[in-house]
Amino acid sequence: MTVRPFYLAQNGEERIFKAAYAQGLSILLKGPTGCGKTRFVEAMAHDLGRELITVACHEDLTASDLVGRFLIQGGDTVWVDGPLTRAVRAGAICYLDEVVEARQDTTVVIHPLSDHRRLLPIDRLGVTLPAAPGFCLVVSYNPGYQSVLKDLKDSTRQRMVAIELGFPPADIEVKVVSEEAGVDLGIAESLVRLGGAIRRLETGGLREVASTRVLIAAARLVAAGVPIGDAARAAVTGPLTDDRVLTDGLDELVDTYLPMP
Amino acid sequence: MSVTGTPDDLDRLRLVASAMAGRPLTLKPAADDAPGYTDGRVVYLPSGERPELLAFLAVQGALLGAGSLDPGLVRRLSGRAGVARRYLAVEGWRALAEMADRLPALPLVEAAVRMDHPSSCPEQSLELALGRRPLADPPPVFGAIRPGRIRAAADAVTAAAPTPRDLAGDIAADLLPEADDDEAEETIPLGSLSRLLNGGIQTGLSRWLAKKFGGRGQPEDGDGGAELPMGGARAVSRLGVNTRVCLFPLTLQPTEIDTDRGHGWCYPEWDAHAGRYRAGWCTVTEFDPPVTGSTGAARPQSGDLTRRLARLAVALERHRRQPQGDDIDLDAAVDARIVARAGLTPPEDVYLETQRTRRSLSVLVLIDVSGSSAERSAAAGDVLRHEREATAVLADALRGLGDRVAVFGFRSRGRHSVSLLRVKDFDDQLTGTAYGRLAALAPSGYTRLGAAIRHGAHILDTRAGTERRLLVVLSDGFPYDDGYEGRYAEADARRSLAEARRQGIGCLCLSLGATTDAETLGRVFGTAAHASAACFDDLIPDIGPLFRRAIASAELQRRVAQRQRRGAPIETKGAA
Repeated sequence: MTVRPFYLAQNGEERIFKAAYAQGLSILLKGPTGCGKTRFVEAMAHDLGRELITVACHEDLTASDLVGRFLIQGGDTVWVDGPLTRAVRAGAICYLDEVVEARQDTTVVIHPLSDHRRLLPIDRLGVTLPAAPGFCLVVSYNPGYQSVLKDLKDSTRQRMVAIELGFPPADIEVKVVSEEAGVDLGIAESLVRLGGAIRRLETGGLREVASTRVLIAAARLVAAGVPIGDAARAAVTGPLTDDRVLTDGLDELVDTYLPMP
Repeated sequence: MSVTGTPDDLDRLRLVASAMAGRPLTLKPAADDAPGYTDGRVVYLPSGERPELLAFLAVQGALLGAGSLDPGLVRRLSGRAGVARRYLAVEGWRALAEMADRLPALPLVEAAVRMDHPSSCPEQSLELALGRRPLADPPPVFGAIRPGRIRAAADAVTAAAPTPRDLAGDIAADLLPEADDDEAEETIPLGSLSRLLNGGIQTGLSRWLAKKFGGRGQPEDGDGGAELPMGGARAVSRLGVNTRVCLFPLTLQPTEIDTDRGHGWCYPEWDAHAGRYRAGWCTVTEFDPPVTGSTGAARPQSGDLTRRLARLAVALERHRRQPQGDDIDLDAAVDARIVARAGLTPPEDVYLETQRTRRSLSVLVLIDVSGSSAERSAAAGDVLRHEREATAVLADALRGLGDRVAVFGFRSRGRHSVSLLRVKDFDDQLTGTAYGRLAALAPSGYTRLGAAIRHGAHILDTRAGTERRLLVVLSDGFPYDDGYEGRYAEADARRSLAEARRQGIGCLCLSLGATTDAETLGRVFGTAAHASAACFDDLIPDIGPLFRRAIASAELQRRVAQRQRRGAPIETKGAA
């Protein structure tokens, strides 16, 4: 990767990330979906010159999915490293996205890695791998997620340095949207204003609000020649709900907040 | 677009209005030709073209967002229309400018931003309005400020929340002004009488009175709630011989309404005398009770309970001969090699897979905080104290096991005023605040058990999100409210539990320290799992089987209900 992924700091989170990395501490990123957690990690991995290995966690993710397993090939067994083991060997940054989705017995394997020991025991191989210099464990989760998720175990949280990310302040978000999508600041500002209006709606019915990611998607449609109202309907309000009444209300919001062509 | 005030148009603009104000608002049409205004929760919209309406909503939304309509502030405008108008002229423009960031780019907003403002905060605007300096009139699109309405709406919200008087259990002779829309209750003076005698709190005497005489006032003579008996008879006569009477309402979903006490849910109530539901009979609202207890209350010790409840969890299950898995299934691998050596195509299912072990249980604890819970229990302390302690221990144990837990108190004051006090919702943390709220629950009001159970089931249905759901009701098993007693109340409570189980929600009713006899409990809780004891510690040894039974019976009921809906024969073999 030669170009730094675009990321604008909100509030000193880069300094904390780099300090934690230098000290060999594990990092917990908290924030709503689409606020830039993954992009932040990518930018940090680039700045620190480390490979980034990302694992999207899901509820059937087992410890062996992370660590590795024996497979049978012909008459022999072959050990295959999991992504976490690869990162430990190579000294890469291992990013476990949405870690609460994983089973609790799975998250326990990261415990010896994420405290002062920095070890990965692989019992099937009978070895304990020390983490190579440069290894860093980063996990993310979305505390407001409206599904039936378990919280992170306290023993897991206690091993992490927490960095809380939210949607950026309006001025930064305008720059982000404009830069990412290649649209002028006026368009970006209208979309961010619309996003702010949707985020202020506490009315039931919307599970998630308009994230920075969907605002960028709308701006990219605008950059490709779609009128701004249609772009916002397609990328911002459309994905939010299927409910007819809510959709009508959101359409009205789009018409009100976005300048008519 | 001209907005005519049809529900559709109002719905469309509702989100716009809420986004501008930064709080949920409802829209209603204003009276003919009257200027529009808001009371803080509802915006009364004048008729007009879209640009004017947007400008009006922007002004009113900005006023709400900037705190210009705080009830404390507008109190000084009460009864002074001229001052209110001057205040709107100054503060309207100022609020538009202050809130410009969150408003759409309307001409009015841009004008406000360009303007010089003589004041910098609502208080200063108020001083200006009260002064004598001449001020320009507000533009007509601003609408109006109606201080009386704002204060009335705010008072309605506060009144709906439990007052300190409520919490102190002091509701002596507080009769409910309901007789006009429910004439059935006029014929049952005993309830009112016993309330007068006992200051609203049910004592052993009042129970005895109610039990002894309460049934007589109830409609053997057909007046106590037998809604439209003639209509009912006609309807039945039209049914064919093979028609099955639908004993459950077609939909258990409540209708949601906005009451003067805030957002509410309307539930039907079972009328055992008429053998039918009374539609939309009870209104349930939810509140956050104040935290007056100590938030640093000691964490309960739930070790023993945790061990017993943990056995409910599904054990780890290893599945052999899987196409993928964590480990190699040695037997399968050896077999596969033999098959391969024999020259055949070996199977690929040679792995062991451990299946999901996560618990998927949500528990809602409903605590009876009606006046009767102030009674001395058989053991030491009042009934509510036992219920509170049991709740704290249960919630802590279940949370520790990774189950989702919610805790609500319930009480009622007539069918339009069933309150659920939100101690902890499913998504709240079990922290000092929740323990503080729990500690602050004080007995008052009556027990409309059916409505509380129906709303509890609705909460589990909509907010729990897990496969298995359990409703734990802590109550003395003595339903009683205005027009809600005796056989009628018992039948409705029993019915509500049966409905919940048909939705697949397990029900467990625990009666702690109460003096209600087993026979009555059986009538109220029906076939739902129930138990009573002097204190919760006595129940702990049985808690595992009780939970298991409640969950299993709900599972069975749900399957039966499903089959019935599909019209398939009911298979009983192995269903338990």
